[in-house]
Amino acid sequence: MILFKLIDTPIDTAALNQLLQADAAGACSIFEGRVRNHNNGRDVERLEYEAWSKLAHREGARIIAQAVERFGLERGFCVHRTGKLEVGDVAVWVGVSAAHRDEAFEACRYIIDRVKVEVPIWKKEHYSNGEAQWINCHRCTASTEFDDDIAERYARQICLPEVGVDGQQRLTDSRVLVIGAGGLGSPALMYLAAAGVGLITVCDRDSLEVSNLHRQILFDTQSVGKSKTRLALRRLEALNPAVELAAVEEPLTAANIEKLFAEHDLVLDCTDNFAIRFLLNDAAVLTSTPLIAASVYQYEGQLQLYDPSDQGACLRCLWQEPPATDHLHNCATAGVLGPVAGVFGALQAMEALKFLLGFPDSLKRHMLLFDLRSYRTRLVETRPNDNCVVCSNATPLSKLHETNAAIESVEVDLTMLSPHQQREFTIVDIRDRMETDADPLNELNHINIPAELLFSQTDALDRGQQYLLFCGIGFRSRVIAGLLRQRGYENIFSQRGGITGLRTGTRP
Amino acid sequence: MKTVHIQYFAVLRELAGRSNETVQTDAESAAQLYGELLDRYEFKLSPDYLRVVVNDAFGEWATTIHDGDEVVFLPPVAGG
Repeated sequence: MILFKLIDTPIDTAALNQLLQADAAGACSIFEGRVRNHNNGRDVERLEYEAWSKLAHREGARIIAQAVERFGLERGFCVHRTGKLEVGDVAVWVGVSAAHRDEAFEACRYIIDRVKVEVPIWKKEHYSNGEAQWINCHRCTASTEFDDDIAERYARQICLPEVGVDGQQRLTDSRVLVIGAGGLGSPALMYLAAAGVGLITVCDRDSLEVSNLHRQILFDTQSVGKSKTRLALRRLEALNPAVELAAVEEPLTAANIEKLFAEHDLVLDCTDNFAIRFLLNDAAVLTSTPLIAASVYQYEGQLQLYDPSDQGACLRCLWQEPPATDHLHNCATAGVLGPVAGVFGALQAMEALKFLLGFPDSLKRHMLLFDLRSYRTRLVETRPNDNCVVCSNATPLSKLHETNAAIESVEVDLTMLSPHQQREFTIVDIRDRMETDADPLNELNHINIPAELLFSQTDALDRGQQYLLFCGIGFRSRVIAGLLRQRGYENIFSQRGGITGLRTGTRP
Repeated sequence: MKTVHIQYFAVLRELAGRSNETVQTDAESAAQLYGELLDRYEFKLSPDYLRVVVNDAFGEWATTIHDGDEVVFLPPVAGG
C-alpha cells in the first residue's frame, strides 16, 4: 500500500477519505493544509511546490509507517501537492484512522509536523506585487537550527568537564534497550531521553493499570488500559524529538532476546519478576552486553552493573536460580512507595550515563544496597563465582536456550510416570549438605551429589545410566541437566518443580 | 562470645521486625549464625535463596564470623 504520495493534480479529498475506512477504527482524523493569501506580512497570490521526488516518497513513507506503529493506527496516509496552486487549494492532506480518538488526533499531528520538517519539498510564493520567492525546505535549513537546539538543550550537561561536546556525541551514538516501562523504567527512560541517548528501545508488554500510577510517572490517568510501550514512546517523543525511539511489544524469549541485546550497547533491567530478570542476565552474559539491573522492595532496593569487559559478577554468580515466587514478593504483593522505584530508576539512568560516558568510577564489581527509610547504604563487593552456571569459564554457555527455554524435554515429573518407568531412574539430590540436612529427601531412594561436584567430577555419573536430578524447586537441576547433556550425558533429566513439585504436584 | 552486627533486608527485615541489630554469638560460620537466627525468627527462606555478605563483601556459608563483623543475609528482590 502507498502511504505517501506526491501528485501534481488537485487532491481528491473525498476519495482519500474512503481509504480510511476500517471496521476496527472508531476515529478518523484528517488534516488539510491549504494555500492562504498571506505569509510573513505579504499578500500571496499563488504557490508552486517542487519536490525531490525519490527522497520525498521514501521519507514520507517512513514517517507514516512510524506513525502507524507508534500510535497503533488502522490506516494512515499523506498526499502532498507539487506544481502550481491557487489560494484555497489543498496543498497537503493527512488522514488517519484508529480505534480511539486520542491516537487519531495525535498521529495526525505527528505526521504533518514531521512531513513539514523532514520531507524535501520546496515552496515558491508568488506575491500580489508580482515578485516571487523560494521558501527554504525545512529539512535543508534544519541542521543549523538543530545544532543550536542541541547546544542549548544539553548546555547544563555539556558544561561538565567530564561530559563536554565529545561526551554528548557519545550519548548520541549510543543505543540503549530498556526492558520494563514501570516504576523503574519511568524515570530511567525519561532521564536517558532527556540526556540525548541516540536510540532508546522500550520493551513492555503490559497495558497501563490504575494501580501503576502511584509510581509509574510516565503515564496519565486518562491512559489507563493502553499499551505502556506506546504511551512511553509518545511521552519520550514529546520530551526529546531528537531521540530515535523503537518499541518491542512481543514477549521476550530465548529465541528473540539475543538479537535484541546484540543490537544495543547497554540494557537496563527495569522488570519486576525473577524469571525475566534471570533470562536478561543470561542473555547479557551470552551476548557480552552490559546490563544495569535494579530491583526494589518496599523501602529499599538493589543496583548492579554487569560489565562483560570487566569480568565482574553476574546475577547468577550471586543467586544461582530464581527463588520460588511464594517465598519472596514483588511490588504487587509486598507493596512499594513510589519514590523508592523512582530513586532506583534514576540511579539506573545515572549509572547508564556514567557507563556510556566512560566514567572510571562506575558500579563495577559492587552491588549497591540502599534503604530509603534509614538512608543506610552498603556497597557490597561482588566476585565472579567460579561455579556460576552461565558466566564461569568452567561451563561455557553456547546457546541461551540451553538454560532457559526449550528445556521441556529435560524435565520429567516422576509422579506422572509408571512404577516401571520410575525404577529406570537413579535419583540424585544435587543440593548441598546444609540444604539436605535441613530438609532431607526422605521420600525416595536417592544418592547425594552436590551440584558443584557434578561439574568438577563428571565421572561421578555413568553415561549408560538414566538419572533424575532433584533440587529445591527444579530450576538448578534443570540448568545442570541441560549443561550435562551438552557434555554428552544424554540420559540426564530434571524433576519438574524439584522437591516442592514432587510433594505438591506440578499439574494444575 | 562475639559481638556481630546484623542488617536485614527485604523479606528478612519484615520477618525480623527490624532492619538491624547487634547480637552476641558463638557461631563459627555464617551458616551457624543463620541457624541461630532461624531459632529466634520465623525465617522461612531456605539458604538456597540467600547470599551471605560479611563486611561488605559477598561471602560463603562457610565464611568464618569474627568479633565485630557486619553481616547481611541478602535475599534477591525483584520489584520494579
